[in-house]
Amino acid sequence: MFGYIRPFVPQLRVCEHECWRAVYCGLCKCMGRHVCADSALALSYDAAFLALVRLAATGEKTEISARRCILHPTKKRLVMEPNDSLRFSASVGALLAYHKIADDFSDERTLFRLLLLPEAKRLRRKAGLSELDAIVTERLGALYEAERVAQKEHGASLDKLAELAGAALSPIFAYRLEGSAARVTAELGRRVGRWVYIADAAHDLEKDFRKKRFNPFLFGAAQENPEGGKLSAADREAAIAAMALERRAAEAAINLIECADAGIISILRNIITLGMGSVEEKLLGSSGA
Amino acid sequence: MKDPYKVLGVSRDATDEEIKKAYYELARKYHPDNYQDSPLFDLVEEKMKEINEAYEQIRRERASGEKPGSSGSYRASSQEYSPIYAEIRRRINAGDFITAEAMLNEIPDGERGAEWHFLRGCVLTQKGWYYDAQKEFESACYMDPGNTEYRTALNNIRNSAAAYNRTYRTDTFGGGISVCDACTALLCADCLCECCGSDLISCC
Repeated sequence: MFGYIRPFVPQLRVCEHECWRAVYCGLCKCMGRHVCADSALALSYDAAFLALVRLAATGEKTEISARRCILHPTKKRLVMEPNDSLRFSASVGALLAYHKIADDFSDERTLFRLLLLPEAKRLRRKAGLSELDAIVTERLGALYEAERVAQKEHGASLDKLAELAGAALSPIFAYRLEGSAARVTAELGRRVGRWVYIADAAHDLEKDFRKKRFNPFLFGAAQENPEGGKLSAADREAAIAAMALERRAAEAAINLIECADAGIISILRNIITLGMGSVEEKLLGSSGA
Repeated sequence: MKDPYKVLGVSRDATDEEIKKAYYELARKYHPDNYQDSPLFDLVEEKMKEINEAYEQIRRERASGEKPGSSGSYRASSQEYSPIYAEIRRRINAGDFITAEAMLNEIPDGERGAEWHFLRGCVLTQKGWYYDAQKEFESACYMDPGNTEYRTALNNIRNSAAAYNRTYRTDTFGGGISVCDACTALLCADCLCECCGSDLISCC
């Protein structure tokens, strides 16, 4: 996930915004304490989203208190006290940071990325989710392999690749959950993973075209597009519709989460419907534009 | 009857890929959607029909190893393979998408007409692979622009997405400032005025 999963703040109620900030700050503190001190640098909106999903699915009791931190020494901020969902999301945040850095390095081997690698490996080790990491690594490996094959054969099915990305994210959301909660969160993870893959492909399109790197939109009809780095009108419209329908499916999954805290569900719905929707608009413009 | 190769503007030695590319270019150029409000709509429809028939004939000839020009009649592939497609439709209607997809995959490349793309689009929609599904429906519409079933399937996906987006679309409140931002800006402006020998806010 790459920071696309965030709420649309103007449409959050004040109490929801406070809850979101408390989860975000709580996650930051949790990463520092539970993983390692500098892991908080890998803090992302995506991990906060995961924390909210886990809180909703597990129905864990939460406690919020006002605390100061290095970044905000003058004013106390609402912070969620560490709990299982936050600890798990903190570890996953560190793990995903490793995979992102490793993937970036294999895409383009720069000195900066090379220097980051040992730190990323340390984050992975400290995350301590070896069982889950093995599954995610294997599934991401399948995705990268499929991308390599698609590049070689000059043909790619965007949905096939997106499905592999969804399959890599799905076990993270459903980790150690059981019954309907596991099924619902797995589907939510799959949909969000698919959406992120399409969003990332749209975001990187021009850069990938310029640097002659793989991008699923650059094959098929788009390859013949003289404008190259831009989506054809038909591809753009198809991508807009596909992403909206991914969100609709994700929202349908959220509706099935049995959670007593209506505030958390409302934040999750805000993220899926409005937050991710506004990211879509930024990346692809609105339909019919 | 016109020579199908001439209709597509390719030589008889052209590869399948070149023919497909030529067909897609022509289909894009003469697609009726581009002429919805034009008085030439009927001419374009005629032209599109000619292109489709030419493409279908070349594919059929090549698939069966027939000599070019030996076939005297044009038949749409959807008619030719209707028994298989009818069975696939039956499977899709029964919710057996795995078998339907396997049956579709078994149909060789050269025999995949508009109906094949349409049915594959239906299977992909069920899988939730909306992008690829739209691409299949688009191909079906290009190959058979007059078919309302294919057009409706494509429109259904687009309309569902548009309806979903409309439900939640909201104006972004970009450019808004908080009370803190306003006070800070006023203080900065006051300092700048004082540096120039003037004063904006007399009490500070």
